[in-house]
Amino acid sequence: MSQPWNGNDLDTYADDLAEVIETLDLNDAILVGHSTGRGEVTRYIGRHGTSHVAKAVLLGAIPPLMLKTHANPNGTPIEAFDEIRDGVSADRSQFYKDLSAPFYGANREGATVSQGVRDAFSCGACRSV
Amino acid sequence: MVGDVIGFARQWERQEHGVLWISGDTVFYDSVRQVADRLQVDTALLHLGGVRFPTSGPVRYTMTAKEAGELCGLVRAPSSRSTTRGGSTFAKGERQSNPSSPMHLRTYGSESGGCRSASRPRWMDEQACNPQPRRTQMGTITTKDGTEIFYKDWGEGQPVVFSHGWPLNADAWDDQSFLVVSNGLSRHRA
Repeated sequence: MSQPWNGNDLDTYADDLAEVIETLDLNDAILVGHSTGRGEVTRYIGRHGTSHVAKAVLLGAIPPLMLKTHANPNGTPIEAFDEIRDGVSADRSQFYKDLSAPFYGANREGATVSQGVRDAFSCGACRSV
Repeated sequence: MVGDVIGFARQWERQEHGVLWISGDTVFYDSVRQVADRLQVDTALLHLGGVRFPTSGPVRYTMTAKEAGELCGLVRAPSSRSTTRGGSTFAKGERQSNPSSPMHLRTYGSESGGCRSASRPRWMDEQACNPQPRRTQMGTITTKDGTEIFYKDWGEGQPVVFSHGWPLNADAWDDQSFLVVSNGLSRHRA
């Protein structure tokens, strides 16, 4: 398994998904994408069409654009992304541990997110990025 | 586990429309395609099923139904043959992709895993034929730019492909994948 320095963009993700679908010979597939994965699924359909696809399930929006701009006033401000970059640079382990709360909405009143789920998030995040 | 091509063609007196060609367990590649040029085939016995094994990931050992359809098109008999001789037998779950071909086609195995071959040890048949426990495997796929992508491939049936978000990995979908496999099937990737 690689952790490539280049190609961390949605076009490459979408092309990667196309290679997975072709290599495993998947047809009539239901594509489920969450967060960045949702961007991947929509970009895949845009670039490679729907010949292998039966349905798509999109969870948690990033398309069409996550960043707040003049044309996309409901997007997330660039400061939020800068904060993530700073957090990962300063202390990635603690950053992911803390991020697990808002990620699952565990910081909301009445939330019932287990510690196990939060720990699995931090654990997976540190291994994958 | 893999050796030379084991297919052969039989020819005998009073064959009117060509030879009997038995493909043997093989993948769809140039030497198989060339049969169309080299032989006049009357009846083909093709070994299908898209057989794969956990130890070798996505590598296939036999042709899929789709490839067989393409192959049938390549070795199609001359138009003087009556199409009433048609009659293609496909394994359960496979699509007949070339219904106009007048060839006789028999398949070994099924889309879900390819069973029973006289040329294969019994333990391989059992591994390929027995759907219980459901197939679980993982592996990597190398993309055109050399990146290795991890995937898990669980269950059988209509594929469900899960794409995770930042900053996670394939494990993020284990709960959902288990649920989907328990109710049908799933495949998923990192």
